[in-house]
Amino acid sequence: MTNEILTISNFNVNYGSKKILDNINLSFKKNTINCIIGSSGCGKTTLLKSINNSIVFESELHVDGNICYDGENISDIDDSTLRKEIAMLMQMPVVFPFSLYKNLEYVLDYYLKIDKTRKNDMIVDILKKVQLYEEVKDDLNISAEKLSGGQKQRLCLARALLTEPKIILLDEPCSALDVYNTMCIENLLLSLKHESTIIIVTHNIQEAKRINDRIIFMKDGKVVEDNENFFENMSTEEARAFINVN
Amino acid sequence: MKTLSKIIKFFSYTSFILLMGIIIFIFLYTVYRSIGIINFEFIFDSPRGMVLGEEGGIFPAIIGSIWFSLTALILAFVPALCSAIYLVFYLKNNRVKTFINNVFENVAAIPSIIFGLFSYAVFVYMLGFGRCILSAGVALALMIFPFLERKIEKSFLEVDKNLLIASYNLGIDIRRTFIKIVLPLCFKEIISSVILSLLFAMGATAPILFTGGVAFATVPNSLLKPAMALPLHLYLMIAQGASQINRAYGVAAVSLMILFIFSTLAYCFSHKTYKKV
Repeated sequence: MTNEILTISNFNVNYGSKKILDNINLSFKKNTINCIIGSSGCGKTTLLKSINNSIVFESELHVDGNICYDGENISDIDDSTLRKEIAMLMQMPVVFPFSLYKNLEYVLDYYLKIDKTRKNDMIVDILKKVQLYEEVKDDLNISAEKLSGGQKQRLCLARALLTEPKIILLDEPCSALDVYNTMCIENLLLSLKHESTIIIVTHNIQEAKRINDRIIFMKDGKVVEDNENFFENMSTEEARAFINVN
Repeated sequence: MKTLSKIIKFFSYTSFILLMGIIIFIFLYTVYRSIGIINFEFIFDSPRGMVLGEEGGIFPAIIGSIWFSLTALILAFVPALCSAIYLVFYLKNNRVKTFINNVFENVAAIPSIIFGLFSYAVFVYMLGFGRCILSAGVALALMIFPFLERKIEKSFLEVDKNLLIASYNLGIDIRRTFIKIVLPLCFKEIISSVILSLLFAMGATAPILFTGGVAFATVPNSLLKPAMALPLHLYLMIAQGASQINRAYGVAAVSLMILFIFSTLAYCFSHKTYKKV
């Protein structure tokens, strides 16, 4: 049985005549943390959005190539089903204009028909899992918009984890967070690796160093280096130049 | 630069004061001329007199106006809401979207009497409904549809797109996202738009002139009956040379008061409780 959960073959994204992604060929193993690094505008976020097909929200993009999730082409999978299995967290955490409790209830009510007691238990469990429960346990009905940035990001992660995704995509999840919240998120990701495959875009090279099982270095829409021992053994000049600068 | 900015400021303030002055003058003058006219009998009695409206009241016209505008609203609201939902959440082809929006804008530019003509030809004459609230309601619905659709669509477009994407990224479909996130955020603005559309329909005379509005009718109890309407009643009073022009001002004052009450309601509903963008 293959250990690969996601494969990307001959994948291109164009915006008019401009190439955003150029002949991407990648595969991702189960239960690994894959960090995508590269300078701004090299196509990292576009690659991430292509995986769960949220690229359809960007008009005027032309997409070509194949992405297969668990052996099936994602164009053959219903978008809702795909995004349940492949969760995505954006750089700026987006909480719904409800209470913290209702933010999580919103997901549970969509996927499960369960009673209030079971729902409460699941919400408490997931908040504990993302290490948010102790900070908010006194008032779960607090408006989610009143949470701090780090708390919001952990809430978004909790929301995503309720769908039990096989792959979690994260686009610079810690870029707006302080050191404490960054460490929280990183520790969470290390623990989640055993349940899901994680693909994270990051500008924080130290963070990438701490959590990665594999580094994918991108430049100008291309994968320049794909290395499981990236920091010990960089094989391309561009990668070395990028690390030196950053 | 400072002089230019002062000139712009001067013209802005002057225009604002002038406009507000004219509006307040119209309102106050109308109310002033109607003093002594508006009383319980005027509001709740039926019109009488050699020239209709010279004596009695305007109750059938008030109720008729409500019937006309509610009929128009019921006929226009569902298509307007569905069109807005389709254009914002489902239609991906930008060219088709632009084409549809252009069509709606052109419909908005059609003189309202044309809608009256259309309804007269189809509903009054061809389908045999005759002059009735339903025929007039169709004409009014066509008139208010682009206005209502535009306002609802604008309300949907103001919802932070990131909220929608965050919901879709959880695998939640458009229908659920719309019901649980978009609709609560837009609800008050939709209500406000509905009230404003109601007022728009209530003030229209041309579309109901030969489709459902009549000079004299009792309080309507069916969509298939003709009815009086406030703006039509006012027009007929002045057109027929009513000697008691103050009574015409009374009709106008009642119309303005209804407008004021509903506008205030619309304003209260349009006050946002959620930060959308």
